[in-house]
Amino acid sequence: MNIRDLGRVSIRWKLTLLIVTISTVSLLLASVAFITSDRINTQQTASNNLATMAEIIAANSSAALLFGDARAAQETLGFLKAQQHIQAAAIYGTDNTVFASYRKPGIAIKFPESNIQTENTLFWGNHVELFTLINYEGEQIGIVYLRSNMKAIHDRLVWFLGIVAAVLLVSVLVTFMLSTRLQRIITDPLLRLSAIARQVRTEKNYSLRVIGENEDELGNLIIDFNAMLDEIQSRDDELSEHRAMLEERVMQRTSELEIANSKLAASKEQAEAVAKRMEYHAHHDALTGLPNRILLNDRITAELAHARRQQGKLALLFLDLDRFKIINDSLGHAVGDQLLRVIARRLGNCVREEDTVARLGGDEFMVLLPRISSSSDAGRIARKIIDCLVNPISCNGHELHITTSVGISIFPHDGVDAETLIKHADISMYRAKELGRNKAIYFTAEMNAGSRKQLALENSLRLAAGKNQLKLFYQPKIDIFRNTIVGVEALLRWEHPTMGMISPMEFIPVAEDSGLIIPIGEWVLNTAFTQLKQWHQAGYASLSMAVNISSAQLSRPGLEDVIEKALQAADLDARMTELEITENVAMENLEPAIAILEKLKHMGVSIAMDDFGTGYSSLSYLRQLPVDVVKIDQSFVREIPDSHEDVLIAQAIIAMTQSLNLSVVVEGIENVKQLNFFRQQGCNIVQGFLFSKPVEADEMLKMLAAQSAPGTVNLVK
Amino acid sequence: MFMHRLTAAARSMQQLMTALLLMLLLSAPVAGTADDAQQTEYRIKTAFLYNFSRFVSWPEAALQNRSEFSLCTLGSTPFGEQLDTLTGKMVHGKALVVKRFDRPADTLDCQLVFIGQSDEPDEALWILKERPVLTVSDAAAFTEKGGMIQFRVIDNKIRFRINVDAARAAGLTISSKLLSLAISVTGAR
Repeated sequence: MNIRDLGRVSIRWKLTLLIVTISTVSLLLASVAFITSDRINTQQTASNNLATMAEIIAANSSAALLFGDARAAQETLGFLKAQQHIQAAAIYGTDNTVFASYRKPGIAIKFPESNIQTENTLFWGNHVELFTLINYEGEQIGIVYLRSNMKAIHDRLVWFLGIVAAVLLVSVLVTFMLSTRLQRIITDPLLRLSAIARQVRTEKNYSLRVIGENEDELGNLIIDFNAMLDEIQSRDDELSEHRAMLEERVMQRTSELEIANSKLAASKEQAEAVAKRMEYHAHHDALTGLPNRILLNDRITAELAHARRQQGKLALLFLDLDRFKIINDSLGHAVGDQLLRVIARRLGNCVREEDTVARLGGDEFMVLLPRISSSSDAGRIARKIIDCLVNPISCNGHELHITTSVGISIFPHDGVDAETLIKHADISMYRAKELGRNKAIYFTAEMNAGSRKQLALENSLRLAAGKNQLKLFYQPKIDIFRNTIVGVEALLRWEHPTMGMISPMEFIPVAEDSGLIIPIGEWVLNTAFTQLKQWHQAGYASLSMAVNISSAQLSRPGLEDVIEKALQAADLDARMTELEITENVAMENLEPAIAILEKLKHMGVSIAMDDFGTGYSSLSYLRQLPVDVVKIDQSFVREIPDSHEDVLIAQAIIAMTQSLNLSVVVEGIENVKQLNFFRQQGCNIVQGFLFSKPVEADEMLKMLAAQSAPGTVNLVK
Repeated sequence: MFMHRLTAAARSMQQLMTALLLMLLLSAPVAGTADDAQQTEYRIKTAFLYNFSRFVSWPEAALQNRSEFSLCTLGSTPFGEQLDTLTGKMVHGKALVVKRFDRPADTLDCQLVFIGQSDEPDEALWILKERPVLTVSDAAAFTEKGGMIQFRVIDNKIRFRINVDAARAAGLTISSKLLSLAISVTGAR
């Protein structure tokens, strides 16, 4: 019977066959495993027994071998007579000839003449051979050979096979008898179910039901089958009812579809509106609603193309508000933003319809004047713009006077592409600032040579140090838990006689390009260290001094010598000083930077990572650099605790510094909410306007004196 | 243990030597001309002397401070230069040296003395009595006189007798394996 024929056999017999087959197979497998394991054990035992006998013979025959006494050697084999299974034995000399031998009576075998050099056990079909070396004092003097029959092992196997066969036979019979009874538990309800199902099919009589008493899956099957018949019966009745309703339903659906179609059209309009709004945002400044740089560039490109075709002219006006930064810093960002909005509106009102006013960012604006008939038109409009701002602007109760410096470039006279025109307008705006602000200046070719702005700055910078225009300001670092000033950061300022206060962000790049950074850097180090020494002598001996180091300083060899010299000149302990580097500074020339910083650290100077989080903030760099302190940049602090994202960033940086065992200084603390947040995070050293802006040295001394007078000053205003 | 320190060459040399000795011992009965026969006999006896030394243990004090194991002959013996083939073999951790003496008093420092036939053995035996020196000889009735091992030739095969009491009195222990090969053993066992 093959598997295909099984399909026709009753389920009763299938179950019986299944049970009998499984039990027989598992019994067979168990028997095979048992017999195999027994066989291995028996062989092992037999070979161990032989080995023991050979060892005894080897030990007893050594003297006989050495003294050539064959008779004595023969005697050592004598005990083998009692061993029924030993067929033969021999002792070989070192020349591989038989020295003494034993044969069981009636057994005729030749002793092996080759393959006797090594120690081994060989299992043949019906016998075992074993060779063992005879050693005396480590020297091989002969070999023992033993041959034993396998009869005992074979007899044992035959006995086991007999038992297995008998057990198999009995178990098949018992399993068969048990399974023919047990399978009824499953098959009886199934057969009943099958009979009723057939009856339902042939008679189409849905009122028939199966009787079942089981509570297992079969019982459930019968219940479900009956339930299905119930269902079919009731469906049969409902069907006609439904047919009537269907017609009505189709009508209803048709009208719903029409409504959905009209809704879809409406949402499409909505999506278009959103896209339009997004496009507007992409091209307009969020604060003022003016076109931004992107839209301005598009318009300049378009108008340039038009001007080229028509051989017309156009002008670009570059506007920078004068002293805006002071207003922003002193009255706050909110006032600054409101001011920018008012100025944007005024600018829009005082130019022609076809002109474009754009905000480039910060306090910089750009006006595109297309299709002007002459250069003087541009000057006239620039004048008008300056006049538009004459009236004071009231903001939050302040009357603010704001002026602007304007640079003018004309196509095609000052440039034929957008980039050049913008650059030249920028340069001439800078010239207007130099000439005293609140002016509009045309671009001239002479301004162009090597970027006049940079040259002017560089030239002035050369004179600045000599004329005492460079100054160090000091911002205190506060320990908020002890409420004391623990150190100061030295900040470089340049007070230009005409351009006013110039920020390091502007002039440090110029100083780096021109190489002036080296003398300026040394001046800063010497001045700061000397100042610190004075404060120490004035009684504030625990005060530390942080000085910023630029990339140009760090990339030149010998920075450590400069610092050592400055320390010596000021007679200062290196441990009271700290150097602040930015991430980017360290990154530009990593290997030498690490070497210099290691040397400085070795001297006792502490190293701080400034503006942390703004550059290529990479943990691996932070690990490589010998940094002691991380300063969290104020750009993350400003929106805390309102910006969830900034809160997360600050927390992440703090967690990271804790795991690297670094201290943290928080910069730019401006209000109590920020202070409380960082207090909760466990940061104790902070810097910011909430405590003090950067001040001059004598002002600093006053603050130090004020805090040392007991109980008089609370640093938190 | 000392075996491991031997170089491979020395080891194979030693094996070859033993094999050679055994081959002679097993295959060549004492035959041929008188001279040849005697030479073969003493070649086998040389191997026996060496093997005796391996189956006898000396008291620790007798070997302790020695760098070598002295196998000596007393008086003239038929060994000729055969004995020198044993030089350098290791016995109980010492290198074997062969020494030839004429005066019995000189043999006091030996570990094994073969007493030649021409000598009167009595004087030597008296001097070596109860000293840890294994005495061997071809002399008739050697064991009866207090010698320890006496060679005999029986059926063209070399055999030996042992006086186990004399050995025990000298502090020497003779392995039961060796005793079982002796044709006769004198003394209480």
